[in-house]
Amino acid sequence: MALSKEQIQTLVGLIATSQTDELSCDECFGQIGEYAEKALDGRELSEGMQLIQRHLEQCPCCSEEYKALLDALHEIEV
Amino acid sequence: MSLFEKDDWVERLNSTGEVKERAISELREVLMSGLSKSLRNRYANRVQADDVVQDALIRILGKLDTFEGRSKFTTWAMTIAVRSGMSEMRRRHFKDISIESLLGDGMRFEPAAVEASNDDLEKSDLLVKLRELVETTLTDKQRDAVHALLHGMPVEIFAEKTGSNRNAVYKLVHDARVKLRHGFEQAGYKAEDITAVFA
Repeated sequence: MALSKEQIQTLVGLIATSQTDELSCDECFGQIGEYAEKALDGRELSEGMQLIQRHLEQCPCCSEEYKALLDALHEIEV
Repeated sequence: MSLFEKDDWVERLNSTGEVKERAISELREVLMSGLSKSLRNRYANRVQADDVVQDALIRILGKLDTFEGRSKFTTWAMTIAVRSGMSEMRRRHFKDISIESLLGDGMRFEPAAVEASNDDLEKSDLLVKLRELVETTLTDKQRDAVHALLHGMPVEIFAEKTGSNRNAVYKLVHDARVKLRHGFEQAGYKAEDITAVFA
């Protein structure tokens, strides 16, 4: 199946931001709670947390779960 | 102190009798509250929060000894519940969608996508290079995984349908991205140039 212009643009963006050293999905999952709390509190991210941010930019699956987690945490913190 | 701020969750969930039952009941309430909001409007509401909570509670109770206290307990529990719910929704959503139906006759670049940028020589050159790198440097498995993901199939579903696991598929795609990036660099294109051309 042919790639659309939008899909090519997405692929190019993912290629350009790829790094040799990236977290796996499980490594990201292990720290995502701490990352979410920092994000909700507006706290600065440590260098280790920036690796999570990079993983979320590359992994739609983890990114989708992170957004759902933020929605859930917003709800229970009200 | 609200349910969400209690810091004795692990102790109470590890206890017995009424204390444990009350803690489970409170945790169920917390998860229901969060999941009702977070699962709504995703994957056409294929899973309701109460479908997920019982399974999530079993997973959480089975993992209690892995809680390290790096976040609040309720945050940690919610990460497990959200992943559980999202996984189930994805599974149901993609149940009848095969990888073959997404891939068709393989990853191709729509001629229009290249031709449309004939007025932009740099973009056109990049697209030609991208097509060449995809065809010559990626393995068949890498091409299939990248292709499926670009068509919206989540990593974990691709993993399930190919008998792999989520980490392995992420690594497969990661290695493909890095290969393509190195290919561009060897051809004289820096990452920022590529991004700028396609911005």
